Amino acid sequence: MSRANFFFLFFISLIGGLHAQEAAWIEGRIFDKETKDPLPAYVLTEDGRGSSADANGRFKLAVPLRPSGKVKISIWLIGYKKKDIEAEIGKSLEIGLELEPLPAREIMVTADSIVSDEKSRKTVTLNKMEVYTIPGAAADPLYASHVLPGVNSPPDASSLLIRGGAPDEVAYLFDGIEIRHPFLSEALHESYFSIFDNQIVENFSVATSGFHPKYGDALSGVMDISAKDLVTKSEGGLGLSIMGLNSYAGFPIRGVGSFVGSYNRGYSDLLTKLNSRGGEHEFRTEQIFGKFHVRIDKSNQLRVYGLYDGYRYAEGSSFSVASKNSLGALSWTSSLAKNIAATLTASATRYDMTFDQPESIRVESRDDVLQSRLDAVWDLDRHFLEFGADIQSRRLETELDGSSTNEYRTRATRSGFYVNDKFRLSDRLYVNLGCRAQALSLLDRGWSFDPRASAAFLLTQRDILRLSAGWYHQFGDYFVLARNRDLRPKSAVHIALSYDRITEAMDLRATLYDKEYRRLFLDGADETVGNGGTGYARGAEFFVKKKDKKYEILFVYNFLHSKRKENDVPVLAPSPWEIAHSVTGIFTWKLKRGSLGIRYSTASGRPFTPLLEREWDSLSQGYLPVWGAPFSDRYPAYQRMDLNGSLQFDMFKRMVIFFFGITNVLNNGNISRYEYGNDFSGRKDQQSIFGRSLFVGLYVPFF
Amino acid sequence: MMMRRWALSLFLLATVLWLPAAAVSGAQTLNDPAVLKSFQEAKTKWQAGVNAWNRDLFKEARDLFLGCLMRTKPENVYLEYYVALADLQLASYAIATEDMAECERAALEGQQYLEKAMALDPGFAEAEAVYGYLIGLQLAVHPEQAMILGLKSRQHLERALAAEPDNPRIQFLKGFYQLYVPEAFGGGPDSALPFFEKAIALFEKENIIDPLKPSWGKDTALTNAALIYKEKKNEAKAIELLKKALAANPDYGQAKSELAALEKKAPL
Repeated sequence: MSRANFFFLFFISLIGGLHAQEAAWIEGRIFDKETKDPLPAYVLTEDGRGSSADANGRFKLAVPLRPSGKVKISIWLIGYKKKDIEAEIGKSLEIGLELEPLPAREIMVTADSIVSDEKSRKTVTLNKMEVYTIPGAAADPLYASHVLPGVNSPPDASSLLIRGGAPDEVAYLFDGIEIRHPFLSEALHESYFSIFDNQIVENFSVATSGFHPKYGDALSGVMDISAKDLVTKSEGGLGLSIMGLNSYAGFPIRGVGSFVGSYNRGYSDLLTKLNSRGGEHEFRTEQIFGKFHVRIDKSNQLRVYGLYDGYRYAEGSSFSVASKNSLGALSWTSSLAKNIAATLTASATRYDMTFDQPESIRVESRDDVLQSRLDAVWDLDRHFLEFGADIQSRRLETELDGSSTNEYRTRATRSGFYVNDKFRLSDRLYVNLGCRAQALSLLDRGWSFDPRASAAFLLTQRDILRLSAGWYHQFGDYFVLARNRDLRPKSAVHIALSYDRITEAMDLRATLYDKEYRRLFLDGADETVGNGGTGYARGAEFFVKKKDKKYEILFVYNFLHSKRKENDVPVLAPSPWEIAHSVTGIFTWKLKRGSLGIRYSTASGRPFTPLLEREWDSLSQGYLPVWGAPFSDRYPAYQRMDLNGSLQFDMFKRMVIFFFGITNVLNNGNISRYEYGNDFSGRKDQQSIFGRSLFVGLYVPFF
Repeated sequence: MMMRRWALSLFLLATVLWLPAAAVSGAQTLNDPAVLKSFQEAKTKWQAGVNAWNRDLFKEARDLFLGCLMRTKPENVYLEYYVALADLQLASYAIATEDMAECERAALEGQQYLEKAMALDPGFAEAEAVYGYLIGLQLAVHPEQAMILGLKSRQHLERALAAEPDNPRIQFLKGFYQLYVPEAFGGGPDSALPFFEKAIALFEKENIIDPLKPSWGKDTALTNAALIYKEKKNEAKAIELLKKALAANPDYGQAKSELAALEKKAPL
């Protein structure tokens, strides 16, 4: 070969090589290793060439030709772990990517149900709008919570019956402040409507098991509500309905922060007339709320709150009930470092209640609470540490018939502290470990300790298995505690196992749980009281919420078996709060400019102690009741159907919302309890106050 | 005594289980010349995409930004921001071509990059503004979630605005958001115009030297303000603003075509 030919061939081969280098490709498909869904991930070669895969996960990328026939590439998509591989040129690649584990704070490890539109927290949710759109919920966060799994309450009373627990086993918190009387109407038998105005509620959660150690003095559950915070633009709304007036305003204050406030006033007169109710009922409510948010500097914020709720109900001249709930609070939040923040809250609440039945009985009671708490969080990505302390001083007074001889007073101070660490043990296992200690000055037995643990295991990105176990203490009625300083707080041990499937279109939860009560208060001889009571609540729950563009379906079923030996029942008998089966189904049509919803709820009746007969007592010259076995009979099953709807339209360049609701459409006469006359000769059925009623109104939001 | 034992065991447990916190990102610069070159190419492509309203150029720019991001350690919040900015354009383009699946993908993916950027630098208000805008774009895909998405979008934009009221791009994004909010909800051209005008005034004062820092938007703010004046039949003002837009960016296609149409209609 001549020298010239050699160079020619060398040149040709070089060109050929260059050509081959440019013509070399790698191609393949990228997918989620778990779901097999295609991923539009990015492929980067070691020399900096890159390309994104298409919507089907397919990619094709020019690469330099290597003698080895292989090239190093990195594949990445946000939210997934980066993968480095050596790819063989010419072969079609199949590349599965694994999800990047979520930071500890982003997973709800406990079996809580929260109200949020953030699916990323991977828990069963309702969003804020659903509080308005759930039929029969009266736009009340407490009523809306009745459709969450684990809440066994029938929709007549506001109070939450959580997994067989008594109504007073639930703690209610508002911006971290414990509210001892969260109901507008707190009657002897039921409590109606909450004092929390949904217009100013930012979000809330209902914890039914495995709840956080920052919550103390609750055996069965916690409802935690937070009010709207920093508002950056003026907003508000004005509503007028046959129930009265609703108004809300929030606006920024230049250079200071913002203000959020609401004012509501309710009258029953129009409602009574429209629904042709007989009798002279008078129903009045008034709610005022205000919250100033002051930004001291970038890392310090001050909040000042005020809340007032007034309520009066009267039936002609036969009786009247009036209550006032007021709250004043100050809270300071400081970001001590980029990932550490603390909030100090101090508050005073007062609750006054008067029940007056002329010429029969008059009860006046007052509950004053001073409380302070410090809550701190330390976010370490893999760990989310929370710790804090709280102290609460409470004074209770009750006076019967305006007589100082019938006056009852007690006061006590409760203190507690807690620590909780939520951390990621592996990519799929998130664990919560915490403990709470608390003590009450009325008791001589020192501190109680509540260790609590829960775990969430991500079977897949959409399927989560949760297990929680914890020990909970509650001090109970201070008047009872004052009778025996040797009493110990009531306690319950919870174990719950849940399976959640959380997708964009569906929330599903199935749960099994067991709650074992210990040291419940049990009356002894001679008006003594001890800790001999026991009990249990065991059950199962199923919840599903399916969302579509045009409709939404919600279905919840709760099964409960519960027995208690408590108070004046010396044997293990069915729990008075045992609603063995409850079912709620809701269908909501999403219209172009509104919604239409229908809800049906049914529940088995609660147990009650039957009256077997009456017998004449010659000593008192009157009849005495002969009661059957404790809680051995049941009230009739409960059922109720509700409808509601809303329609948006424009008027004078403003959006106006028309809304309506029909409660108890079929006018079922649900029995809430039986009452007997003085001589026990006849039984009177006390029906639910929720007969068929129509509500209509208009709401004008301001943005 | 029992209390002390409990506290000690908890402390020990915590010590065993904690891992060191992730290091916070360092200074935001691009030290690798190859990455810097690639970044500049990406910015040029992105601008060319805006000028010609071309999906492929946005996609190419996005790929280049992504490549830079993958090659940069520690994570660079500006690169995350630019990937999301390209996603914003891709989502907008997808709405115009009624490709709702692509719109959702781009909007959601862009949000994820910005979430990372905001977690690394909570004071990065401009990232929050783009984040709010991307949530707003999802409204085109999920009109049934108007109340929730609208509220969230507005909250982020307002928060960004409160944090950096003198940032022209945040003013512009807020104006653009207002433009597409129905009048019954307080939006519309009249409510958008003050934001565009504020943005234009702020752009006049802005002088960004660092190539990594966002500097886009003057041409689009002027053009959008011009379109509102055109709607209001103030064509002279519209022409004046379009000429300013072309002075800022002579290749901006939309300004060119709008100016040509207006001048044809009313030759000066």
